[in-house]
Amino acid sequence: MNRERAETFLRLLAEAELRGPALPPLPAPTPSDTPLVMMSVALTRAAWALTAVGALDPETAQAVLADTDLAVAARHRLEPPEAGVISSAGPARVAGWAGRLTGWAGSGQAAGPAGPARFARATLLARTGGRAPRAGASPPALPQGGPARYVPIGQLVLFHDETISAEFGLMSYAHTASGARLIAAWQARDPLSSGRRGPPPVEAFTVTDDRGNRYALLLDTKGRPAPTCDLSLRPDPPPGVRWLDITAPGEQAVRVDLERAAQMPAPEVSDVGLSAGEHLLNRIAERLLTLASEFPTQLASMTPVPLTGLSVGLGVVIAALEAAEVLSPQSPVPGRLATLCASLGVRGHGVTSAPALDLPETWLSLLSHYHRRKPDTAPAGDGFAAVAAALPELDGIRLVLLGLHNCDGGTWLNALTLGSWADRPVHHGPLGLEANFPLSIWVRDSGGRWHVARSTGWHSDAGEATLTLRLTPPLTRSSPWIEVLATGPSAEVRATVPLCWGYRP
Amino acid sequence: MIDGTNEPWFTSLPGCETDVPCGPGRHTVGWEAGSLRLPSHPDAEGELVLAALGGAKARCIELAEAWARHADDLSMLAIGPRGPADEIAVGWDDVIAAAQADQAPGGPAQPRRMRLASQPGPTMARVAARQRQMQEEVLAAQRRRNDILSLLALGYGFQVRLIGQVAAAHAARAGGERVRPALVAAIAGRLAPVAEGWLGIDPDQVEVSLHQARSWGSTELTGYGAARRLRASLPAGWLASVWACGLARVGRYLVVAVDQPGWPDARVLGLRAPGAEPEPLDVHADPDGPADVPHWEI
Repeated sequence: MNRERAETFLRLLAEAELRGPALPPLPAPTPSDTPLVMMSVALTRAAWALTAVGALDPETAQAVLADTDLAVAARHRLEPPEAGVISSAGPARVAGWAGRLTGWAGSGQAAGPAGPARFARATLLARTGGRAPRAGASPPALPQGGPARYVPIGQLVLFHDETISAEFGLMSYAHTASGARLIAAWQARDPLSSGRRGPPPVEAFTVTDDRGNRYALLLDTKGRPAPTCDLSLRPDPPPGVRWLDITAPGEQAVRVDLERAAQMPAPEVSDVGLSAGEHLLNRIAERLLTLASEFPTQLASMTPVPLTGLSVGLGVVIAALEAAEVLSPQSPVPGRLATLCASLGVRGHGVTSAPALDLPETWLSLLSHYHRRKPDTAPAGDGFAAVAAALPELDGIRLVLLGLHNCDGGTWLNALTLGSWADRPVHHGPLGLEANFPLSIWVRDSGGRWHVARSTGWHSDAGEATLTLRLTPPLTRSSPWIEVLATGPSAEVRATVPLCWGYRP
Repeated sequence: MIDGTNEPWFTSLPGCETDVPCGPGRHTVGWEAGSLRLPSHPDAEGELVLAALGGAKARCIELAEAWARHADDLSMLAIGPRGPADEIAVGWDDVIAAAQADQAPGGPAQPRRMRLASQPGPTMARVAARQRQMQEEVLAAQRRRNDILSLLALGYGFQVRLIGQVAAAHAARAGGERVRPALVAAIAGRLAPVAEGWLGIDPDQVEVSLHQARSWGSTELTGYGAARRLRASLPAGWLASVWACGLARVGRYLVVAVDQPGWPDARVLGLRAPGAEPEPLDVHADPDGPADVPHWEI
């Protein structure tokens, strides 16, 4: 990795942007919260990519972009007759780094407000002199000393009264340093109509263990999309607890066996031999494959998929990664990306590598699914599967799978991640990639088809993060097992995970 | 900064001056021999003391402070002009408007007071400390932006002189990995348009590296068509003693170093073509011409 060349590349790219096409004049004043000046998407994406692979620290990248932002703003003139007129528009909002990276979806240099707002956002960046330690320089430590227990459950807890008819599908039990909880999918309806209701009053449930201890249940969504949640137990059960009896008012107790072992073959860990740049490009490809699913008509008819907003600047990103020496010029991944873009009909990517034919099996599986004339899109019915699988640590991240559920035509994997990555705030890059979760996750069903997993919910708390991954495409039947392939920058884990399907939630 | 001579980098630059809105009127601000001059404020230090005691600070004084704060700020290389044709459209109206926007109600730096329902505990103390820190950061960023806008509003002559000062400061320090990328980009951004006029080459085909030996550097032209490249290795001091002094291109020559600096006569080393040996050239500027953009002839 060559950090000096990475920064030089970004600065020279900014120079090229600055002497590019003539800067347009500023239009008449617009609302004050309009972004001031948008630099090219390529520049911001190159900055993001170099930061994502650790070739550039965020402060340096931010400083380069801020300087370019001000340089562009300083070269705009007001259009007559507004020239020289100070706008009454108020100060523009202060956009942060995350906003800069995620919000600038336009292409080319577009003008924004005039007057005070003209420079209000451009350089609101204080310089601190020193550089912050590079993110990811040393692997984050996993939580130490806390109990860790993961148990598959696969049981249903019912609740009925005159206003609500509800079910909790218990997928798993997890007890970590941050506490004990049941991971559940719930469903609640009005008994007199088909209308949906909010979650049932779990605080009215009683929970006892084999030692006679009593617990309170607290419903916490923890960033999980409905209808999944964590049912936290208060206080924490002792480490050796054997079972829990959960009783909803007016219902029989449901005994939850906490000594049930997860039947899972030992996961395989292997080196992947990918450079940081290749890993990032693979994740970008997965993002393209995920988003393409939103355009089934175009995919089935082999017409271009409108994902130019996502693909623009990819060629510059590749050049930036090569400049930083995190992507070999001989790497096959840019060529694969070119083939993928061609297969999906994605244009405007700027990838100049010759298309490669050796696409990964995972990509081919999704492409064949998309291009099938009569795609098998009928999803499995709603349901949940008990899962408890702690995967080996990958690049400082330990992924624990704690349930899978089908709902409303989608399939979600409920998971927990451990490690200091989990403490970082959610930060989506310009391509929608999570900067604080640099794993690529694929799932193969028992029919041999691959499904790409993408994070849709994230909640950090004390070295842990609850994570919900949506599978694309969704599972089409109740597969008795899945193979999970998690790939980090340095290694990959393959684990075959049995699914114990529970009742309809 | 010395450029093969014992003379400072600005020896080939004449003084320049401009008018600045200051208080109720306009004052002259000048630059002479590497320093900013405030003829309307003969006791600038005394005014600073008064300002520290709560008095209003004159804009001229603020400008001098801003100049000092940014005399080695690499951002000035990234933001400032790449050549006479690269017009910076920042005027005093912009400076005043940006400052007013900061002070407007609801402006970025306005403190947001929270009404507390109970006595603040440790958590509230942390929140308050974080708020203070964020506010200080916003204020620092606003001051920095307003500094830069003010310096740009001084006009092209001052802009290139500040760029020369920044480049000279870093050339003297022989900075490492942390400053080289900014210096390479600064030279590339200013050499490219000069090379376009010199050779007719596309500015995107100019590749620059930082020359760190005592010699002037090197140039090389390679390839044809889209693969054509002008590769130049120049020291950071070129920005100061050559480019900032308006000497980058004289006649049909690319000037790569100054042998005997001076105003309005100087001796420089010029290249007739890439890869050629530099030739000593006696150059002459019109002392009655515009001081902002000195025009030199052989």
